[in-house]
Order: sequence, then C-alpha cells, then structure tokens
Amino acid sequence: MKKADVKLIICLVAVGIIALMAVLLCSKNGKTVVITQNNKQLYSLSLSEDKIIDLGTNIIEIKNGKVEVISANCKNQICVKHKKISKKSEQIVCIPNKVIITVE
Amino acid sequence: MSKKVALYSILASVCLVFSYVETLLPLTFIAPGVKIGLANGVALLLILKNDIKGAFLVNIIRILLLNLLFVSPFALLFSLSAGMISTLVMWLISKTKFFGTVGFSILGALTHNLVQTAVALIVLGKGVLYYLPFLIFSAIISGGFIGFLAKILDKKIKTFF
Repeated sequence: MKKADVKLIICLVAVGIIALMAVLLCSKNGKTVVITQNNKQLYSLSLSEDKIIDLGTNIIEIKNGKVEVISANCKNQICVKHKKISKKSEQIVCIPNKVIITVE
Repeated sequence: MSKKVALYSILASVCLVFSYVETLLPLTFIAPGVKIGLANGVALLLILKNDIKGAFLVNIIRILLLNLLFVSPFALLFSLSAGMISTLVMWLISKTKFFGTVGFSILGALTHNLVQTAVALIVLGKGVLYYLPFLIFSAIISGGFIGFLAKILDKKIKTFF
C-alpha cells in the first residue's frame, strides 16, 4: 500500500462517518402521516407520496415529505397558518373540526 | 486474436461464477445491493496488466450475461452504468500512478456505489440517500479487499500468454 492509499482510506472513513451522522440526524423525519377526526383514525399515509386529502372541513396537502393544511372552514385558521411538519411526533391540530394530523 | 477471445471468454465465465458465489453470501442487510465485488477483481487484474479494452469487454459481457441469466432487465440499468464508469475511473486513476492497487480499487468501488446511488436517486427518489454512508463503508472494505487480492494475483500471474 502506498501512503496515498492510507490517506485515501482515512479520508473516506471520515467522509463515511460524517455522512452517517448526517443520515442519523435526518432520519428523525417521520415516515407516515396519521389523520384523525373526532378521535377516529381516518388516514395513515406515506409522507413520501404527494397527495391532497379533502376531509370536507379541512384540506390537507402532503408534498415533498411535508404536511400542511391548505384550507379550513373554521374561523381561527390556526391549522392553516401552522408551518409544514415533517419530523417525528410533530402535530397540526384543528380544534374546531377536531382534526389531528400527526407525523409518525 | 483467438488467444484473446479464449482469454476473455474464460475471464468472463470466471466473473459469472464469482457473481453467482456472491449471491450465496447475502450482505444486503447492510444496504440493498451490497456485495464483495469479486468479479470486479478480474477487471482490476486486466487493468493492472494494462489491458483496458479487455477490462471493458469482460465487464460488458459479464453484466449482460448476468442480468439476462439471473436478474431483471431493470437491474441492468444499474449495473451497466456503474460497471462502465467505475472501470473507466479505475483505469484513469491507475494511469496517474498516484494511488496503489488498493487505492484505485477502493475508488473504483466507491464510484460504482455512487453511480448506483445516483441512478437509484433518479428512479426511486431521495429515500436511497439513507444508504449512502453504508455504501461508502462497504466500498472501503470490499474495494480494499479486492484490491489486495488483485495485487497478489498480479504478482503471481506474470503474463496471460
């Protein structure tokens, strides 16, 4: 083995460790979206699939691995203003319509 | 010419056997598609013998046959692109004389894995990036191992003819 080979291996191991750490940090992202209304689970969907769900009271959009409520028929619009969620155990709650969106 | 035809045929069949043996050693629990890369050792040996044309030929024959025989044509996309580019990279690096056999074997393995990840990224989406660190480590280990083997073989086999 040449010196350059040893250096290469050390560099690659370092890159690998950094990549591993990056992946572990990112993997806290949730995988599924669970939507409940009136304490009943209505949907359990994959975060990776773009989709628009119309509950009648709220319209929820899954896009690019994130979930947000794009419209709601309630007055306060708190759930609509809520930022997009994607990390594990983050929630968007719409109290007037009893809708809970959880990332798992 | 006929000698070369015979040599490449033998080497391609050796590669096929290697590829088959690899399927008996499932390392896919590390990440999908992880293997030792024994067949790559043959290409490496040909590069060490300064026969880049042979390395490409044997690789193309191996990949085409292997995918026709055992794997789906879909996988051909992955193996052919990765096989060609990694052979090219190994050849170019071996030309520079900067790295030893182990070094350019590792770089070849790494290129192979990165190209496959890139293809998977296009076909399957960014979920595959999760496997990248494991693919880097497997490239270091298997590439290093194969490079080491090829170096021994290169010393033992003075010339093919």
